[in-house]
Amino acid sequence: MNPEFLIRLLSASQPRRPKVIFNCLTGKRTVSVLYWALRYKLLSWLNVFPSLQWDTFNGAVNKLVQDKRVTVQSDGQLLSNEALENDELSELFPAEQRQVYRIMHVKIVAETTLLGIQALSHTIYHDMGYFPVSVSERARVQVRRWFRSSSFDENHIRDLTLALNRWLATMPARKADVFLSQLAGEMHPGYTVQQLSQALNLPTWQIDLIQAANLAAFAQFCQADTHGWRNLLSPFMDQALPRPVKQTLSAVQQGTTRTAISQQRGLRPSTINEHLLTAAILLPLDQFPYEKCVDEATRESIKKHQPVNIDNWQGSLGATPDQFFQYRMTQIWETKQK
Amino acid sequence: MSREPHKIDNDIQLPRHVKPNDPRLKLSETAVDLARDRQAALRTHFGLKKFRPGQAEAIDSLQQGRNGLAILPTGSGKTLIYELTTYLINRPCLIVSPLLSLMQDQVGRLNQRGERRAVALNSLLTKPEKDSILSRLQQYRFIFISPEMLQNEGVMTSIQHCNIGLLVIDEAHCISTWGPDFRPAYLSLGDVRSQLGNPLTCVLTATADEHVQTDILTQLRLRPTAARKASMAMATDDQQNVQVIRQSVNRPNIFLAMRSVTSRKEKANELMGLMAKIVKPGIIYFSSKAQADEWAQRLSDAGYPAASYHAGLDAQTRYTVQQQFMADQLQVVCATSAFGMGIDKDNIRFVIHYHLPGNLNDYVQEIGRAGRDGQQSIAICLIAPGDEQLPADLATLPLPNDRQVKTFYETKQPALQTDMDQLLDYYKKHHFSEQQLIDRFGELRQERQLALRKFINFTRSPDCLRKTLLNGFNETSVPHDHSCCAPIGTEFSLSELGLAQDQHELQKTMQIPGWRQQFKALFSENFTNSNV
Repeated sequence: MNPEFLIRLLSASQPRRPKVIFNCLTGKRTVSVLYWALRYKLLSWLNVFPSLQWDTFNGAVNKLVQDKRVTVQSDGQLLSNEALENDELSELFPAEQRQVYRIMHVKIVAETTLLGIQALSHTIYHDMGYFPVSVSERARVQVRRWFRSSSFDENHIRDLTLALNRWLATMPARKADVFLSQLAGEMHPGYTVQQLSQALNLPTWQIDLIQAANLAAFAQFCQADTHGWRNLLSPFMDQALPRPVKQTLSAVQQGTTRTAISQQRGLRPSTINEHLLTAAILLPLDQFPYEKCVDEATRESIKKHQPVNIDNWQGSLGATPDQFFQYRMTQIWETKQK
Repeated sequence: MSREPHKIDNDIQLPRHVKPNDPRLKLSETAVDLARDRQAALRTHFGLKKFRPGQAEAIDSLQQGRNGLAILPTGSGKTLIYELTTYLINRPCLIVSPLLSLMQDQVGRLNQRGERRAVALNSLLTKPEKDSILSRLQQYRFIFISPEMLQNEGVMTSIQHCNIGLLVIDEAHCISTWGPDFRPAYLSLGDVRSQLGNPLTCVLTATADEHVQTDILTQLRLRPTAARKASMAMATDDQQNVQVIRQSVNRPNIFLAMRSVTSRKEKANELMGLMAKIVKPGIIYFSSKAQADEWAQRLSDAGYPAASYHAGLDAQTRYTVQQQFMADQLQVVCATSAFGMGIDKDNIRFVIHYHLPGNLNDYVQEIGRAGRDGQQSIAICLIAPGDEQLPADLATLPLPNDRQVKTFYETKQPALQTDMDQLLDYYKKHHFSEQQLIDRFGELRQERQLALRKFINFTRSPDCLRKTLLNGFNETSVPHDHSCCAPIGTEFSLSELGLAQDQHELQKTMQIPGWRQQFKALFSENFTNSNV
């Protein structure tokens, strides 16, 4: 992980826990990680780098600390010494594209994209004796399925390339250049990140971010396409919420109490609470039934005894699980209000 | 002129073009059949007419049901030996391969040839993928596997049900070079073989001096055929015998050169100077990933299309570098020893060792990537004072020292967190006592230091380098001439070798075409013009 990227995920005013940032980037979805990612305004980065290793991440932290660009507080939280604007990140990798990573099986989508396009390219050139990109067995199976899902005759291939071409034409040219540069096929071995970095005069971490954004955009294009691209990636795209969370949410929306859901589904009350907190964090404010989890009076009463900065709120040590649920739900509600 | 065929006896009539004294007529009927079968398979499956030296001999041995150890130089087409044999025996082939990337490459190459029944069983698979493959393992014709994966009982049970017809140990020198200190699973291949019912076995490597050959055969519990003849009374099991097929390590078209420099700075200048005048493409070997990266950058900055290749890069980058190199878009690859096994490019003109390898075997293996097309090529070692220290450290550092062995044996339930713990645990489980293990690692350290010393002596030798090299492999030397070598302290001329290039088109950066142009390359004009 590049320190230049990491420092842009830190704040000069809000101390941030490195473990939360790491867990958010790698897609750990515990309520605690999700909540703090929300507070850090980093929730859109959830699962964007699932293969990131702790050693690599920690190496970047240490480099920033060594260079005195970041201060480690006594409780281990990090505070940036530079007020870097986040606009740069949003331009390279817009938040709406980052959010696609929440529902995407990242590694397999990347592999299937590479192999699928390579196979299409060689099919067009009638060259089936090509050297395939190195991908997992799962990606190979999926590309084979994709090819079996349609005739792949000249008309179908024309439809596919036409759709892809139109989509690329809607992208900023530089992003489209990067997208195709990292694909391999007939007459096109592709380019490395290093080569792109030199040719486009951009640091490698920015190329990585553009490419990550491109992958999300391509997944979105496939999902919306009606010419055959959808079949390529659809098995690797999930729903916005995990099924158990969705079931709990749906029951609450229909008026079932948390206790009743817990009994009906044979789940612990704490699990039901976690489902609801997860849904509240991941869904937009207007799509979650806050009133059915914590009423306005309770929210006001919790808020009344706490400081303005939500990060400084202190939960009671002796709180029951239910009280903690309402306390956390109020914090989420308050955060989303702002 | 008579059109009557020749007669050599009363029963057989020969075609006119065959002379009665043709030595092939002495072949038995079976041998002729076998030769005809493999020739037909060569044409059908590979579209080739001729075998390369050593291939036919190795396949013949396997066709006759004899295990084979083929020590054939890099570029001699070792994979064809087991691929073709598998088609002939029409039973699955299990290939033990050392590197994940090599396995993927080999599966890719088989796919490239239209063979889809190939799979790599290794740690890159997820559990569901692995389970899915194991459930239909019998459908595959070529199963590539890491030695570690063979330690898994479930995997072994599935393989046992496959009726393996041929067991291949690819890059078998790893048994000797990697087994003892970092891939102990290599030391269990003898057990694996017997668990599979001692199937027909083909052992392949590019370089093995006598010591390495002995190690390989000992670990696999095989005996050379000659040894069997010497002790016929003791040989009760033909499955343990192996025919050794060895081709010379000599590559006459590779000029060998040793270049002495007085400092690291001078070495860097020397390399830059060479790059300005040598014909490309070529490979420069480094012993560290960081140095490979740094030099790839320096050369790119100087205008040479160069990239680095090492195990620290992700699979996609490695693929791209490899394909660009194959397509001559890259002229120089700055690599660690990770680059090479499986690289099949004919026109590599030079291999430069910026850092020295640890022994003659590695040297021969690495320089063997040059000149596969038979054209003049060159192997240059750049040697600065103190250069031998790095390979000395690299050779012995991974071996646990006496204290580490003692501590491990004294710990009741060691955590097995590090590779070294795993290694020591392997030996402990295989009933090595603490002292035996200390002695074993001590011997290994000495062996490696000896191998390095032998290599250093070779680099410093004032005599013909080829002669010294061939002597190292117990081969007869060949006459020295002007296209043979330049020992340390002697000069050589790239022009005289036809390897000088005066004019370079220097490019400051690789040009990346716009997406429309790239789209055209990927999907052909036919599918582009109507779209844009």
